[in-house]
Amino acid sequence: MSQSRSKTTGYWQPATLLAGFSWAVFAASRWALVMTTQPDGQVAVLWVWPPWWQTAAIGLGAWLLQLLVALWQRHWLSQQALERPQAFRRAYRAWWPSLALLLVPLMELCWPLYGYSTAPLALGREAWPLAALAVAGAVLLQTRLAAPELLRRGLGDHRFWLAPLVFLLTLGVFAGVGLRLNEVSGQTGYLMAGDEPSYLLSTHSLAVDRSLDLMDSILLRESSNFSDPARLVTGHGTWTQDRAWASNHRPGLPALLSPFYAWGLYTDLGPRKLATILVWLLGAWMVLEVFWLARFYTGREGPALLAAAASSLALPGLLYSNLLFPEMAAAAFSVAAFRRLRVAQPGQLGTLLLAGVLAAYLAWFHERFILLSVLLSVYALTRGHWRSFGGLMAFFLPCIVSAWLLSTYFSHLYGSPLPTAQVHAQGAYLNPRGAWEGLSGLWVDAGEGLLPYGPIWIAAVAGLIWLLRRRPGDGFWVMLMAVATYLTAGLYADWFGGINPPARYLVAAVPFLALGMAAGARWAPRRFMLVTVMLAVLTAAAAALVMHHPSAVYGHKVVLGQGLQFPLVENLLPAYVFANQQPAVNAQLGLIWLCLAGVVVLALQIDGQRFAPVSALICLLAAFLMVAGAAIAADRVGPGLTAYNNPAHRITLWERARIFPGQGMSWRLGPAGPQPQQALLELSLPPARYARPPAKPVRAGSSEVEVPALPAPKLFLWGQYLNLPPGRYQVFARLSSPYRGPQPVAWLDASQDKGRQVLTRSQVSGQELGKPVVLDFDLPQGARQFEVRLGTTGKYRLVLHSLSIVPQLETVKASTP
Amino acid sequence: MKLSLMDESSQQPARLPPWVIGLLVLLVAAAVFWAFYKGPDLRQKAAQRRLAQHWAPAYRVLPLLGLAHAASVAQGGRLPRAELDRIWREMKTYKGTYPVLLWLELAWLETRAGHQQMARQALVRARQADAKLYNFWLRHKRWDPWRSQLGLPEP
Repeated sequence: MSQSRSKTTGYWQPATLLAGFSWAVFAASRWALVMTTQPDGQVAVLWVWPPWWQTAAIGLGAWLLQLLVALWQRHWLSQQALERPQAFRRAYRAWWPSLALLLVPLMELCWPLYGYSTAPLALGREAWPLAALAVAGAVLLQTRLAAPELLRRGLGDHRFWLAPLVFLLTLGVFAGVGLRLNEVSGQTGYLMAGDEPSYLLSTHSLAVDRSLDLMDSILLRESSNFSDPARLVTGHGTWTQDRAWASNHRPGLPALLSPFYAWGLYTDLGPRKLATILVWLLGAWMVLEVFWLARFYTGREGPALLAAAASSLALPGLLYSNLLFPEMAAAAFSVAAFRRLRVAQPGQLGTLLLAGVLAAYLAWFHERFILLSVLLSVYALTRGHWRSFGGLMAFFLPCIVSAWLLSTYFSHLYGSPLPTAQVHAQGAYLNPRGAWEGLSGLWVDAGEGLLPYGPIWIAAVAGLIWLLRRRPGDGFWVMLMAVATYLTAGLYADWFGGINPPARYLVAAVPFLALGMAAGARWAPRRFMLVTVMLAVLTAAAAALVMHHPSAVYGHKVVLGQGLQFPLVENLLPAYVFANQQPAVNAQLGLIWLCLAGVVVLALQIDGQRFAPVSALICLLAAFLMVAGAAIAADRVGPGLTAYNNPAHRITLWERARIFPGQGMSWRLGPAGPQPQQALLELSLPPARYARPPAKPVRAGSSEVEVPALPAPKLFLWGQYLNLPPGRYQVFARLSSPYRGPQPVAWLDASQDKGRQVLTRSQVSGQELGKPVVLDFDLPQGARQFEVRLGTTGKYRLVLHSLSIVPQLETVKASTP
Repeated sequence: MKLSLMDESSQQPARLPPWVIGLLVLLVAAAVFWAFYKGPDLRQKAAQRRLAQHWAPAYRVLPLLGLAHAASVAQGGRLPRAELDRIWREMKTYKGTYPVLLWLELAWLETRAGHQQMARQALVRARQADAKLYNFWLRHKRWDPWRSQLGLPEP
C-alpha cells in the first residue's frame, strides 16, 4: 500500500516530467531565427540559433517554472474535498495535455514530410503563444475538473446597478476610441471616407437648410465644416423627379444626427465630433439591450456581461461606435425592438408602440433593413400580440405609416416606390461575381472579413446553436435576425460596404451574435470558455493593433498582413477586394478556413464536463493538426506563404534578425540550391507594380518599365509605403538609356512618411547607367511608410529594369555557412 | 420548437412613474433640439466665426459666400453691392479647388440681387473654370426662374 502511495504521490511522475520536458523544448526552440525561401520552387530553411547557453537557460527556466506550478497545483488539489492520493494522481494527470507542445517543434522540423510546405513552420514561429495558451488553459481546466464539487455555476442574482454601469462603461470605451481616432486623424482627418462624408453632408443640409436638397451645401462647399476644404463632397447624390439633388443614402441617420451636428456648429466644438456623440449613445444603448436580453435568456449576469463585452470591445462594434454609418443605429434599433417584443405582454401598448416605432424607423437607415422590419413584424405576431387589437395597432400602425412615407419618398426620389438597381454602386444588388464571394468574404477575407479582426465571433456562432438547443423559440428568432442580416449583406455586390473598416454590414448582426456568447457561457461545455479566452486574446490584439494604426483599415488593405507585418495572414486567407489573387483561388481559400471554423463550432457542441486529461491531449493534438492542415492546404492553393513577392514575410524576418542576433550554431535544411540569406536579404520592388504613367511595362507581363522622353521632368515611380525596421539599407536600381553622356537622366530618393521626409537623394547621369545605381541610407527608429521614388529628367528614353532594397544585417551575414 | 408561446418568466425592468419619464424626455429633447431650432442662423454663425478666426486663407471666400447666401435668403435676395464686389475680388484671386461651384453660387446671388449682367459674367467664369460641372449643376431647379433671362439651357 505504501509503495503504491509513493508511486502516486512522488514528485517525479512521468506525466509531470514529460510535461516539463515539453514546455522546456517548446520554450527553448522559440528563440531560434528561422529563414525560409523559395526562389526557384525549391524550399530551403535556415535555422540560426542563439548561443547554446542561452537556449539551455530558456529551456531549463521553463522546466523549473513548470515544476513550481505543478507543486502549487498538487498542494491546491490536496486541499480540496478529495482523498489525498486521488488528489495527487489527478494533479499529475492534469499535465498530460502539455505533451501536445512537442508537436509544434516536431511540425517545424519535419516539413519535408508534408511536401515542403512552410505553413506549419510559420505557424510555429508566429502563433506559438496561442499554442502555449491553449495548452496552459487545458491544464488549468483539467485541474479544475479534477475537483468536480468546485464547479458551480453563478447564481441568478440581478443587481440593479449593473445595467447602468454597463451603459456608462461602454460609453467611456467608445469615447476613448473617439479620442484616439481624433488624435490620429483630427477633426477633418483622412479616416473619414466612403459614405461617411455623404451622410454628413445630408446632416448639414437638414440642420442648416431643413432640406434634403444638397445644392446649397454643395455650391457653398459646406463640407468644409467637417472635411478638408479642398475636397468636394456631393453626397453620392441623384437628381430627383423635380430636379433637386438628393443623396442616394437614406435620411434616417442624418435626421438623428442633425440635432447633435447643429450643436457642433453652434458651439464651434466640431460638428463631426458632436455628431459622433450620438453614435456613442446608440452604441452604448445597443450594448445595454444586449446585456438585458442576455440576462433575460440565461438568467445569469456573468454570461450577460460576456455578451456585452463582446459587442462593445470586439471589432467591428468597437470601431463603428465612432463612424457615421447607419450600422450602429440599425443594430441598436433592431435589438431594442426585438427585446421589447420579447418581454411585452399582449396589450402592453407603450412597449409595443416603442417597438413599432423602432422597427418602422429601421427602413429609413437603408432599405436592406426592411427585411429586419418584416421579421420583427412576424415576430410580433408569433409572440401573440395579435390577441390585443390595441397592441396590434400600437406595433403595426407606425410600420404602416412609415412604409407609406418611405414609398412616397422613393417615388419622389426615383419615380418608383422602391429604389431601382441603378442606385447601387455596381448597378445591381446581387453580386455578379457569385454569391460565395460575399458569403465567405464577410467571414474570412483578409482585409474585409469579420474573423481576421474579431475571431471571437466563431465562439458566438457556436453559442447561438446552444441558445437554439436550450431555448428553441428564442434561439430560432435570434439566429433568424443574425442570418437575415448576414444574407442581406453577403449576397450584395458590395458586400464589403465600400471604403470602410471591416465588416460594415455585419455590425447590425453584432447584438444577435453577442447573445450567442452569453448562451455559450451559460450552457456550452467548459472548453467553450477555453476557446473563448484564446479567441478573446486574438480579438483584443487585433483591436489594439487597429486602434494603434486606424487608417490602415481603409482602402481594402490586407491590414494584418501589410500594415501590421503579420505574414501568416498574407497569402493564406482570401483577399477578394485587394484583388491580388484569382477569384477561384480566393473561393477555395475561403472554403478551407470556413470549414475549419465549422469544425470549431461543431467541437463546441459536444458536451463534456468530465476530468479526462488524455482526451484533452488528443483534442489538442487534433486541433493543432487541423489548423496546420488548413494552413498547408491554403499554402498550396494560394500563391504560397513564401511567395517571393511577399514583402510582409521578408520584412518580418528582417525585424526578427535584428531583434534575435543568433550567434550560435546554424542548421540548413532542404535542397542545396537556394540560398536563404541571399533571397531574404533582397526585397524586390517590381517596377511594374509601383510605376505610374507615363511609365509603362516594356511588354505585357514584364516587371521592367520604360519612360519615353518628355517635355519636362516627371516622377514616375513611388508608393511602396513599407514599414521597415530601423537600420542601414541599400537600394539598388538598374536603369538603362540610349544616352550615355554626362547629363543627368534620372534621380532617385529614399523617403519616409509618404515622401514628406527625404532620407537621401541621388542624381543619375548617363555615364552611370552601365552598373546598378546604389543608394545608401540609415532608416531611423519609428520611420513609417518608407518608399523609393524615381523620376526622369525627361530628356531621354529610360528603362528601369529592377529595383530592390537590401538591409545590412550583420548577424545574418556572420552566420552564412 | 415553441415559436409563439409567451414566456411567463419575462421580467420588466424597474420603472419610474410615467410622468417623470415624460418630463425627462421632454427636457432632454428640448436641450437636444435647441441648436437644431436655430438652424438657419447656423450658416451665418459658422461663417462669421470663420472670418473672425482667419480660417483657411486659401478658402476665405467660402465664409463670405456663406454670409451672403444667408443674407440673400433672409432679405429676399437684396444684398449690398459692396458685399458682392468683395466676393468678386476674392473670387478673382481664388486658388482653391472647384472654383466653378463658387462662381455658380455668386451668379445665383447676383441674379437674386437683380444684377443680371454681373450674373452672366459669373456664369461665363464658371463655364471657363469647368464646363462639364457647369452644365451638370445647371440642371438644378434653382435656375428655372431665370433660365430665359440668363440664356441658360433647358435641362
